[in-house]
Amino acid sequence: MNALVMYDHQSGTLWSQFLSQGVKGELAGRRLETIPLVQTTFGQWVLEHPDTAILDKGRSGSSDRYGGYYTNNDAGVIGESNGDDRLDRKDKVVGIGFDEGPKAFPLSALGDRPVVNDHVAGEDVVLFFQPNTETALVFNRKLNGERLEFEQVVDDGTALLRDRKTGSLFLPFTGMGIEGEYVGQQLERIHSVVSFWFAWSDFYPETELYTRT
Amino acid sequence: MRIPWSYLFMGLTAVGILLFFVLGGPQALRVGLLNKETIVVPPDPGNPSAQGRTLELVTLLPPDGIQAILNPQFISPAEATRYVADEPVLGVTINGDSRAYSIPFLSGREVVNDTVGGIPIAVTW
Repeated sequence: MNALVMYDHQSGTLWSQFLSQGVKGELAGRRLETIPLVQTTFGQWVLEHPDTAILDKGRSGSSDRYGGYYTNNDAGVIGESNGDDRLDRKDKVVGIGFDEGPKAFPLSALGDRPVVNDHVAGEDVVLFFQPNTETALVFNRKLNGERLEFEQVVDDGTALLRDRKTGSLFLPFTGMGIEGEYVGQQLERIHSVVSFWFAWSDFYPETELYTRT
Repeated sequence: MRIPWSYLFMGLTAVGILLFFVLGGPQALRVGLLNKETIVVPPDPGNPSAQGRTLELVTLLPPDGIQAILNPQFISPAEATRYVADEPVLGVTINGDSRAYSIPFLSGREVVNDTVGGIPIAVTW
């Protein structure tokens, strides 16, 4: 299994990015608090957050030095350890549940089914996927003790989440209720990651895999 | 190893990296192997039911072999003329403060140490 390792100047501890945890040194074992962010495109992000600040990258262009790596068959630097062939190693998945009950949702299964209601690691979740930007967001779909069941609706070109029972509408990028009985209420964001299959299955060999029914 | 990571770390200033680095192309170039060792990660002391793990740690670059960003500067979307619409970014909002970081740019820097909405974070790719 391979993933980024970082160190901090203050203690020299080594930290695993994938595990969000110190792995060697004074703070080994300690977990870092994770904050959810959104992996999307520049255009989509500015649309959702017009007042955003943008990292100044100077005169750098927009090509990615790993562009070839994203699409080739290499599994990191030292190759994969597990070799789970339920998917191709470089297929991308949305990973949820982690140590508590890992489940992977292949992006290829989400393309024409952008909203998935599921139960992962003891939580009722809804996964929203936007194919053209490869944005994936996961929320807890239990609100005020009610388990909501979502579908996507498109209003004037904008994708929204609608609860089937009450017709309430939510913004998928923030989980905020904007119409119906949950106006102003916020769905709780659930930790998820977009990962290559080889990396996810190396860290979580026992992972469940979402399949279309 | 290029794991798209949609999370930020908080609380520490992660400034440098020991990195696995593959350059694209038909011939994978590897930086020389500096060290290889088996480490046992203790369980999280804050979680009594947590398990430890055994990992193999492979070192290919020395600390700061890839320089993290320590002092990021920010511009408005209108000023961001080097960004294109379908450029992948990592976006975060904390306490009403929204920021976006170019993923192609992060591929060369790996870690940004920033403070967003008053909270010190490390954005990693």
